[in-house]
Amino acid sequence: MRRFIDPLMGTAVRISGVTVLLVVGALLFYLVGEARNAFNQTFAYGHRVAAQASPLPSNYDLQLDPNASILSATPEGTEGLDEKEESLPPPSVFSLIDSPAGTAALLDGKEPGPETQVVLQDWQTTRRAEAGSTFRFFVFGSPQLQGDKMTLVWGPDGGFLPEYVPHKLRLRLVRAPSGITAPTVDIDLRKEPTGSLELPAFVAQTDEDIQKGYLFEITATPTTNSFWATLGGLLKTSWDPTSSYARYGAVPLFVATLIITLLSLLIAAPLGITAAVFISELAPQKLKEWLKPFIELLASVPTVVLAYFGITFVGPAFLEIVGRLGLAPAFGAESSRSLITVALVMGILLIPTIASVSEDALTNIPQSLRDGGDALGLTKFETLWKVLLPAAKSGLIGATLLGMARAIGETMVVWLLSGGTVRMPTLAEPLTNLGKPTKAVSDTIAIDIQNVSFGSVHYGHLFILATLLFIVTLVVNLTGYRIAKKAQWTH
Amino acid sequence: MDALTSLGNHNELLTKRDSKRSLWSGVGVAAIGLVTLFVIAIILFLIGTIILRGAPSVNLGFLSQPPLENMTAGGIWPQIRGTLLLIGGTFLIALPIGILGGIFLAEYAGSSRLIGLVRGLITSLAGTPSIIYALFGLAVFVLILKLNISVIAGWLTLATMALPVIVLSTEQALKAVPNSQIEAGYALGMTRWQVMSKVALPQAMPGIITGIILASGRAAGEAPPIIITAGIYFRTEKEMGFLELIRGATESLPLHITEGLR
Repeated sequence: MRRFIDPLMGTAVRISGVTVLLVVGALLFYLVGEARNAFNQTFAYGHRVAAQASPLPSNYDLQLDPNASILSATPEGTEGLDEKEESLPPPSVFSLIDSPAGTAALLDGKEPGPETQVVLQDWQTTRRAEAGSTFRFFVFGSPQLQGDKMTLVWGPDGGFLPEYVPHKLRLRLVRAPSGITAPTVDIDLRKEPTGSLELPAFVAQTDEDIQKGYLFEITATPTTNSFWATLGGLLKTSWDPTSSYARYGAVPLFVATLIITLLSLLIAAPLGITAAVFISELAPQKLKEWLKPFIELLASVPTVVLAYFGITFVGPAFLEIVGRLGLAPAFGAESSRSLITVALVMGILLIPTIASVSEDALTNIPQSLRDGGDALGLTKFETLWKVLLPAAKSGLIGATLLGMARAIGETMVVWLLSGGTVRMPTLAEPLTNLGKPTKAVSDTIAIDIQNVSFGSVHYGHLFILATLLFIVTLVVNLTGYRIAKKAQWTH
Repeated sequence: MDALTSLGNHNELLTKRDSKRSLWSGVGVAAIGLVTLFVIAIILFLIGTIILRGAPSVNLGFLSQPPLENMTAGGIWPQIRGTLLLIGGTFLIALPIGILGGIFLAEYAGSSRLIGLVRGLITSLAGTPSIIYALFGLAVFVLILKLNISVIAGWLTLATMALPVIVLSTEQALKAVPNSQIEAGYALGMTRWQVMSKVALPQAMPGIITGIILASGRAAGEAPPIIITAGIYFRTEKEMGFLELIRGATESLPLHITEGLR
């Protein structure tokens, strides 16, 4: 029986050990592995172009011009057109134009020819960032055009920010109509995203004439590959993954996490460490036995419950207090869900972690140091301040770091109290950031992951965020453990 | 102190400085006491607020009925059932693997560099934010293994999260057992497993149980993994068999509170 059980249990133990190793491996593998989806990003870009009579009316708005063409490479692509629409011959351009001038888009790369279909509105497609791509379009006036000048107007499509794509975007004149001498046009659309250009008028009398008009092109030349472009995109300051020109700048999320972490530590570290000093050094034995578990009790309160406390009490109380003092504008306070509410509740949440580890560090100090303080004639407070705190210093730093790791990754408090609006803090009047809603890394992951499709670019970006969060907490945690461990005295 | 004070009586300068010092000491000690009192007040106030606001609504009906009339009446029985179901299954998976895995690390694995690295990783995994486990569970259990958002996916995700805590506390509790006792066991001719089960484990039990309690607090209280891999606000089916229950998403307390606060 003995002989039988020993190898059996030995095997069970080894299998469990290997399972644990496999789970750890799988966790790292999939966390990093699923992030690869982010690198399929296509870097959509889009411009509007329109030809108009000169001079432009002062209230002209390109975004509202019904005759403007949208030249855009977005992931949505041709999904908007169903097959029936695509197979229909395009209507006469002039039947659609209700203005003195018009623009037309043309299939990219191809030279105009007899088969070229000129359509007024957009032609859209999907392409990878690596592919250098060209949109060519004709510029012409309709028969109603008066005068000998016309104007080409261009600007980014609504929601598109040229600085967010890793492309050189250029607008060039390929060919002027025969008999017209036009200036050379070669414009950097990143330097000059919106603008207009006056041209000698060209009037197309029929649909066929359009192809004799000005031929312009917008070219997108990738400046780097998809991998570096995706990493570079994370360093920008606008996070808007659901826009048609998706932006994945994670800086505001990380800045929010950093501010929340620092503010909550500013609250929790002094309170937690002071309470630890009291418990370890000043409280009578009876009180000590009761007080430490009492503070640790707070650590076992689920964070959702703390969030409830934040919504029903901390947020409204903060609004009420700054309102009474007339400080609401100074703090930019509008809603009870704001950065400062998150930081205050997070501060409460961290107290037990910091107090408990600090108390261990203080209790660990050999009695001889206290006795030494007494022998030197130091007062109680002098012993605390000049002997015990320096002796426990690394333990206290370790405790603060462990609290910090907790604050960085905490999700529910931020999710429910932050207000969920991505916001880059402003440097001018820094106090006003505190009362405004925000969105940090952890809650962005939690909220967005419920609405993304499996394997999408957005999905991949959430895994990048999670991997970064994991690395940061790993480093902070390990440093904290190591420092706290080093602090242990050998008796 | 007394000796010093009596010494000071002979030297006026010293007395003056002494009384100033002891005054400052008193102020400092009082400040520490006041700050601690403030911390206690915060905790009392927090727990008091929740109990005072919650207690009037809690009765047998509230605990045993499903929510009624668009979540405005009735009780929270399905949420309690779901939470208990999730914790129960999680421990059925994580406890045996975690405790045996802890024994493996403490007594069988040796101390190679690789095992040292794994130990460090497990230590930091025990403090890794729950949202990261939630994302892992969603990718692997819900999407790649196609378990959908279900109780089973929730069990596996929460078990992954509880595992490092259980492994770590088991390993540390076993390491604390004096070597001499283990060697004495071997000297008596006991097999490796007999030493483990009759000598080391009984002594390590309190430490292991502390780890289990910590892990259960984590599994039940951490909302993101539950919401993302197993959660639903309410299920319309009234009567379900056990299999049907665990193949689908479940109501749970963390998700119920979250939805209520959103």
